[in-house]
Amino acid sequence: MNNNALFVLICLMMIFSFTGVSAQKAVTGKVTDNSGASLPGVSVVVKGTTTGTITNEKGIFSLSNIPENATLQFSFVGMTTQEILVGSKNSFNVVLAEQIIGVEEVVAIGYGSQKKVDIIGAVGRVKAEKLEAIPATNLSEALAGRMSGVFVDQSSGVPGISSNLIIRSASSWNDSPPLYVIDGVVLDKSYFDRLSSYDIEDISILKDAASASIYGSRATGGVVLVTTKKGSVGKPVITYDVSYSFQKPTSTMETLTPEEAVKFINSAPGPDYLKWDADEAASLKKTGIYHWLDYVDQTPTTVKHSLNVSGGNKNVKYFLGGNYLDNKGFLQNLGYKKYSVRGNVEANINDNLTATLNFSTGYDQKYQPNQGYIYDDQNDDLVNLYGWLYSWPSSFPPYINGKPVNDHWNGNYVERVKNGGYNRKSNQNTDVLVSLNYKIPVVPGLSVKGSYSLNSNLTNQRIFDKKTTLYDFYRLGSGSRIVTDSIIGVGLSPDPQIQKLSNYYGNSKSYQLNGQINYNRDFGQHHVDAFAVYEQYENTFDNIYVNHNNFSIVVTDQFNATSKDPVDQSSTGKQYEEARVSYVGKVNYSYASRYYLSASIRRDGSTKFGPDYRWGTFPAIYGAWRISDESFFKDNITFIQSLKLRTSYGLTGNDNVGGWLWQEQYGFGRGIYFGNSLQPSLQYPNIPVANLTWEKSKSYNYGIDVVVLNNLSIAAEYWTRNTYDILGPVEKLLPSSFGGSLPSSNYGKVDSHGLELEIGYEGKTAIGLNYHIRGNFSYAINNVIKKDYAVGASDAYNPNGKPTNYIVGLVNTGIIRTKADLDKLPAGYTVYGVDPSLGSLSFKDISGPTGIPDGKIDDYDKDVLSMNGIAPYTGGLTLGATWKGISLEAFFQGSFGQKKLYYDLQGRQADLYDIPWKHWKDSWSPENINAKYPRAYEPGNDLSFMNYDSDFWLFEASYVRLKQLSLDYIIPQTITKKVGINQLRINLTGTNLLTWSKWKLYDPQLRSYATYPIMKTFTMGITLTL
Amino acid sequence: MKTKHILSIFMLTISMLIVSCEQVLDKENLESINPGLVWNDPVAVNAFLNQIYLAVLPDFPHEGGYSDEAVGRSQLLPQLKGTANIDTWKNYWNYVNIRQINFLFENIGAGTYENETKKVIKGQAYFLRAWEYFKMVKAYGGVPLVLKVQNADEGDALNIPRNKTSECIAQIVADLDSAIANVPESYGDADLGRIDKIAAKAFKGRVLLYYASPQFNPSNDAARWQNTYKANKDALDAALAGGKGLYENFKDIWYVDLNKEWIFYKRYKAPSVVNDQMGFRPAIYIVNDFGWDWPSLDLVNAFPLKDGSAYNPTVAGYDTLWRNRDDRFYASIAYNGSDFGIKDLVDRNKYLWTYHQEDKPDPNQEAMQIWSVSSFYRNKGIDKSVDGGNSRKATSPNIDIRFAEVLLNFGEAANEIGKSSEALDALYQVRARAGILPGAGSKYGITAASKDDIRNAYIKERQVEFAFEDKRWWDVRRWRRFDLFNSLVNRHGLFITKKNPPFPEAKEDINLIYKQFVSHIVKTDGEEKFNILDKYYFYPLSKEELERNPNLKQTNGWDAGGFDPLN
Repeated sequence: MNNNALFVLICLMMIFSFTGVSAQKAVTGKVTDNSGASLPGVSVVVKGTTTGTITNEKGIFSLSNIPENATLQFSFVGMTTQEILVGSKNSFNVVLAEQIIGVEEVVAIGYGSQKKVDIIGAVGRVKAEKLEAIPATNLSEALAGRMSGVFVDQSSGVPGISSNLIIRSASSWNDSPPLYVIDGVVLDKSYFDRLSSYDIEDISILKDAASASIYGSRATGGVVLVTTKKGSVGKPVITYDVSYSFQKPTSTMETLTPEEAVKFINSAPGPDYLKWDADEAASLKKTGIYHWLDYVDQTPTTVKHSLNVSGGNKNVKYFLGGNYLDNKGFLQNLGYKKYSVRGNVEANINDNLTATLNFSTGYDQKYQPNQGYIYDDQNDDLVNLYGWLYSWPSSFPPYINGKPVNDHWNGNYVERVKNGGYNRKSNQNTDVLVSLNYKIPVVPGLSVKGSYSLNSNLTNQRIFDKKTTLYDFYRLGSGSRIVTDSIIGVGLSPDPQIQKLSNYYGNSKSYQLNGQINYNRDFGQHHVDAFAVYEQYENTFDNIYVNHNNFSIVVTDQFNATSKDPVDQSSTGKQYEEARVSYVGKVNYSYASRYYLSASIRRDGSTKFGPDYRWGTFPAIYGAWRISDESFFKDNITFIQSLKLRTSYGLTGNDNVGGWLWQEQYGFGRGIYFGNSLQPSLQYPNIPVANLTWEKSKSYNYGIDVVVLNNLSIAAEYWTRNTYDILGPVEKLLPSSFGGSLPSSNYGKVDSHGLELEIGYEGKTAIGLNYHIRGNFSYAINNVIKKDYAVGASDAYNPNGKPTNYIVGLVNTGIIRTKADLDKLPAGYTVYGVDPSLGSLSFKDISGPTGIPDGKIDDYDKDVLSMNGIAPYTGGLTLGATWKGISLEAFFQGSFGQKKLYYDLQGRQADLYDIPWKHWKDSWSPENINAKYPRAYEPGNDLSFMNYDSDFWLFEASYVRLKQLSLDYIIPQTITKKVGINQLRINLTGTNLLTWSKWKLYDPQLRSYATYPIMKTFTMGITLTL
Repeated sequence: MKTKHILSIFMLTISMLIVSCEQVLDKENLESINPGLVWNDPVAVNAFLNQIYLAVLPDFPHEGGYSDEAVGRSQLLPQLKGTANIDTWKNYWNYVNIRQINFLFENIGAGTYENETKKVIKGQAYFLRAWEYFKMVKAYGGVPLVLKVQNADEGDALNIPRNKTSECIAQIVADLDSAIANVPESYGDADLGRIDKIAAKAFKGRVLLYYASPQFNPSNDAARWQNTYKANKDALDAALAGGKGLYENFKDIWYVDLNKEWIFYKRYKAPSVVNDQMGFRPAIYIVNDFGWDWPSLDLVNAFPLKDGSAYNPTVAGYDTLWRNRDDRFYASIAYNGSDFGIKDLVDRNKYLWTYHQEDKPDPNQEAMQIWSVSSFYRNKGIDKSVDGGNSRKATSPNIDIRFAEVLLNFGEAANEIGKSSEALDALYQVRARAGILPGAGSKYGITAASKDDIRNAYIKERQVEFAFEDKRWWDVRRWRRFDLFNSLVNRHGLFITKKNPPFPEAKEDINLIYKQFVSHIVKTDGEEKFNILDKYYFYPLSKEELERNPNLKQTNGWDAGGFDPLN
């Protein structure tokens, strides 16, 4: 762990570890659960003070100096908190009841919180302890499958790359990402991903528009509300967590064996230079295939440390935490590191005034080997570099006698990863939130709150491109595939083409200022609460990029060492600023916790739109009825403990468009060389759209929450969303002789709807085994109502009436296996102008330029292959049991009904330059006419039409995976107490352990096999509480 | 603190916030200049025009693989082997620059600066619009003529049908006449490279040459040839009067900046204005590139001998391939044992060795990596001063119209209207500059006398004079002579092997050691054959274009055709 951070933490802990004491008489007692077993570790606090203790291993506590009018508060995780007035008694036997799921929980909602029983929107919640055990390096990934209606697309396993999060369904063809709100401050997703799971109290997800609408113009994608940990009154609790994980890819692809590869390549038609001669074949058989990836891969590991302390007294509550994460990736020189420190302090300045300060700062760095010119070093997901190494099974090794082999053309990518420079991207963020909350004494229930949040993030990216020294060896064979060990030359690698050092600095600074008035009061059975908020946000961003090519003498990563020739030096920079202003108001009314009615409104102004179109208003209304509290219900239906019906309507917006599109913009372009100087150029302006504004969604939500048989809870939602004013290009409606990149305008419409179901059951057996089952299921689908398309386009290209993610391609009619098959094809049948031949694919003739089948296969013959490019059905299932300190939990996650197109880096064809994939063994040849795959052909051949998107390459991508299996063991306190440890928990977790899918070639969640793989992870963790 | 005070501070703060809030939204776009500043500032308007130049000026060409000139590692293109479809040529259809030129015409009037400045800017814009339309017309025949900035809300009026080819040519000529009237004879030093009168006249000559050629003029309307002759004569006279001419040293046309051969060109300046010449180099010096413009043996054989006679490969053996050819051969072709002179070889103190080894390990292993399918490399115009690593930052110019073209355009038109002596004289001049000896009667090896023979002589002359200048495919198409390709059947190259050591020293003289090599002719594209269809004389409109604009008719000869490009 970062030593400095540790030191600071310890100092801070000491400063805050004081408690105040006062009082009168001694009390003692025993706390048990309802089975009579004593409960150790229960917190016993005098309400309103910091006086308190915890029960010992026998459940016994004692306190002295307690006044008679004091109230004792007994709390324990998983139990209902109980309060008992001291009175005249000196001894207490307290029985704590187990908490019925969800009843007393408080859930964060926009600009406040609510008891879970009173929630009337569709709000999902994840508690911190659910996330801590997950070895994910970012929070988005940790949320996968945790609740209904939340979809996480983990499409790459690269360290530090975050996963996409979608709430409910895409409501537009534009991106409408969820909004992230951390302790009331709207921040972008990178902040969320950088948060440490150990710092989080809980996460609420506002799924329905009525709940989200309070965030107005950016809430269509749903809202993720994060609350960080706070201290609570009591003795300081110090917690130290450490975990270690290692990983293994969930899938790998195999190649043909040496004999198979040679036979296969030599049987393919094509130029002679691709053929292996007898010597080469014999050599390959002897040495086997060298998988270059093996020379640079390493077992990925993640180490996490977290140390935090929390506690407080009557006046001050604090939480201080420090975290460290080190994730080493699948390749050498690849990884992600993160450090962060957080301090949340709340101080009661007087009876009415509370001040809080949340401070956090962190540093994280993604480091990657340089991918070089070909493989675009900006490409974070390493898809090209990784894919290349992966698909480079070779007839010779990357090193001979320790010397890197020059493979020409591409140089030597193994050596490149090891010594070819790097690409490091880091963030340094500092976030401060101060707020004051003042209860206005003269008006009961009225309070005002002001808060100011300052967020700054410095991004730094450094790219060092270095040529590697490579050796030429004698080669033999007609294709030079036999590399001997005698060196005939040495030189620098051709890639990177230019050695360089570059540095990018980005500086983003924003603040959010809030003023809020709250009113919260009960009048008998009537409860009213209301608030009004003013919110103001400004952000400025600027960056600078400096690039120096070539080095004077030594190639090292110092600017000092780079060429001093001005021709080798270049720099660019840019800046922008944006702002938002919002007014928010909300009123909640309820009667007897039976009838609920809420209404909210938000007005947003944004610099993204022109002055006349920058204001939008977003109302919402919702109501609920707890029937189970009605006497007619209570008296007659006893097996249902709680039944609540909810409904809501809300309007939300999506402002995810670039700024300034409402104005003509002339950027400065590249110069042109006239005379003896570069003359400046002004880039073509856009065609402005003066009336550009928000996308809007009207949504309805219908929900029901039921608790039956005491422990079975069911929540179901049905929602519909009608998104309109979607910003879309109208380009295809016009002929391109119009000549402009047409402005996007607000015209599109997409409807979406879905169902969500969550079921939880908790039970207990006679031997004291507690178990729980929780399941969630979601269905979500969208349908484009209005989207531009070319008037003459065929139905497959008409997006209307189809989901946003449908797949188009040719419809295959199989492999042409025999002469008879070939003869059956109509006269003049061609595929993209090419005559099909034996072993190639053939396709269905659907249409032609005149709208009727024309005997020729081309783009006119494309059809809809699948309506479901993303999964319409998703679900999660958790099975857990706890027995005497041992807990076991299994979490399954699945997604169903989606199809995907197969992709690989060899372009869906057998790569005759290298060693083809194993599945090509079963490819068509005159000897194997019943093959599964078509015939081999050389790159560049006409038969490449076989690789075009078609249903031949479409696969069913449904899967179920054992996302997480974890085992917890709490060492009995009787043992740990002896060494002064309050609790010691050991955790073993495995993620992505098993995957069930019909698709076998690669992990069905990946975009293509060349993508950095999704990992199986094995984690061991220890949590120590003092 | 007293409660009252706290309360009042709170209220004050909140009320201050609400008052100040609206100002927060008054932000400026820090990424572009205010549109109001552009059209009243001649420097800005010129910068806008410069952007059009950047988008329109053709880049350094490497289109040899689009004809019989050269081969690449990929095989015959669909348009050469008869498998093209209606989307093959969709990229020629582009109205983006045309809209911006029209946009300039609409806005330039607003400025308050001198009319003379506006006139010169407009003149250049006329040329550039003509250039853009001609690019489409030579591909498709008639296209929709859009001469104003359209608004997106004009509805069906935007669906402009194709104008007749003749209307398009008339518009192009009219634009060029406007350009000729507005642009100066020449520019001061600071603006060299802009379109002047000579460039505009030369381009008009080229446009009319196409329009008179068999592709557009199958019935051989003589009036079109008269027009062509006149326009090219005008261009030739203007060029000569402006000091243009054939530059003495053919090879150096691309290396001596702004020499007299240049008429319409694009220049480059490192590090920011550069072109990509990676594929011209042997694979060993570059990264992941397939190679472009490896000269085909068919082109290599087309270069005449120094005495002006044709090279006869059936009689001449391998050893004579590089002997006694004209200057253009050496300027255009790098061959086994030649002093290629690219930086990578110079740095290694080497000649180019493009042979393959057989049987034995080769201490000069590099030879095998310097491998071209045809065993030749393109030499013409490439930037030799950069090494493989910097070859995407090459700066040799693209001279799209040079004096030799004006001369040969003129001569070709002269021949068609019966002025054969003028036609022959143009050929002689070009050949003389290529170092061909005058020979008996000062005919420079030209034996043609009849109109048809002279036309054939022009076909041969242009093949070698303009090799790799992106002219061959368009010329052959213009002449309606796809048979020239189809009769070749395949493109060819040499496969040179050396059986036994010793292997050549880095700078050994090929003339002394040529006997150690053995060569045979190979088909560079495997079994693929030329099969260019007659309908390719006019390209089809793409699927997407037809779907977007219901008023467009497909070119005759293609499925569902209805537009006659010959009207």
